[in-house]
Amino acid sequence: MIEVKSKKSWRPFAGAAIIISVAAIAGQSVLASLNATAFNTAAQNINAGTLKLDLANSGNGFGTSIANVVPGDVINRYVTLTNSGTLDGIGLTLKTAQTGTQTLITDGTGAVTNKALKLTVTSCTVAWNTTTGACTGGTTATELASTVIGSLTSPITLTNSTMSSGAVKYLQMKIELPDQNETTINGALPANTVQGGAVDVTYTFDLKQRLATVTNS
Amino acid sequence: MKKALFLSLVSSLCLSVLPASAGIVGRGVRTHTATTAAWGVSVVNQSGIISNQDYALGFSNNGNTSYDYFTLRNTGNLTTSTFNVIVIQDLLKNKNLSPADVIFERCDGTWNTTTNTCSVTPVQVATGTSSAITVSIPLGVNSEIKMRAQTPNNNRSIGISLRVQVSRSSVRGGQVTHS
Repeated sequence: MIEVKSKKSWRPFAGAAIIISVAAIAGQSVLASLNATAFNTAAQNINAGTLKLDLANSGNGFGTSIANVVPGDVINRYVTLTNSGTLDGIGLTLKTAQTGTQTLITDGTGAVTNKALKLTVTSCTVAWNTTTGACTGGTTATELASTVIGSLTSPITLTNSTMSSGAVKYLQMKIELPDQNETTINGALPANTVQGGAVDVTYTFDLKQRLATVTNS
Repeated sequence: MKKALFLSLVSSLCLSVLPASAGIVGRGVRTHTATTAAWGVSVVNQSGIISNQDYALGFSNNGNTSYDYFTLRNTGNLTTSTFNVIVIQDLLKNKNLSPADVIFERCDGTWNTTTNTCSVTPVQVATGTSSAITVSIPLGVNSEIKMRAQTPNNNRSIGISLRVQVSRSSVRGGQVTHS
């Protein structure tokens, strides 16, 4: 009769574990030595900066809808952007998203000749007079040249795109419906008309953090 | 299972080594609504039905003269300063009839459709041979100009339609506003 002894595969691991444990316990006593520790008595304080872009109405701003626009109308609304964070910002961009009457969003092509709403953004170094549109005592700069509203779905970098912490931008948002001819026959609006339409435009301003820096001090 | 764990590990590593290109972004968002105006004038018949197509005159016999009373109503949302009503002849139908015997009149008071009179003196604005009637009276939103066409009874089957055209220049011009 032959006795078959099965090999226990865990035995070598168990043996190794025992040896390591014994060595560790013994080593602590054998290898003990003197240690010196240095540390800062006052904890180093590290603050992360903040980047906040406030968008506020100046006058009606975006708070009041624009109604009954006819071709040739120019509607100026005023808003104020403030970098109220602690970080300087760069790369100020604007993009829009719009829903509603397509003829007011994109220009017609080919036989369709409708002209859509356009947006121009101008800044003033001081607050605008929202009644007269004057930038009295300040200087103006075109931040965004006249652009069809439907072409702003990708962010466009404004001309003066840096805003240091605390900086304020006074913006005139000029919305216009280009002059164009349409004749209504028997009270029925023509095809591809710009009449009787409605558009919801969402304006998004984004300001990026300043470039990360390496400092030594 | 092992494969899934491996893939998960690789993806985590890849994500962790991506450059911090996004950084912090401050954002300001607002939504704004804009609506556009509309301009238009329609013929409204004596029953109050608004016609959005060419209006074919339909005369009602009343003694020796037949009448068709209708109004021109501003169905847009802007006041019109002037507009045209094109008079369209049905040449085949009118072969043996007389468009010249059709008279268009305006009443600035009130028509009495029983006595066929106007409360003030009516104004003749065109005949059936006119190519168009130009209305140069400012017409507010939902306001109406009271009209009638009349013709001798034996001419009542005449074929004449009216087409109302309001062009861009019929309403206010563009304005610049600040607010």
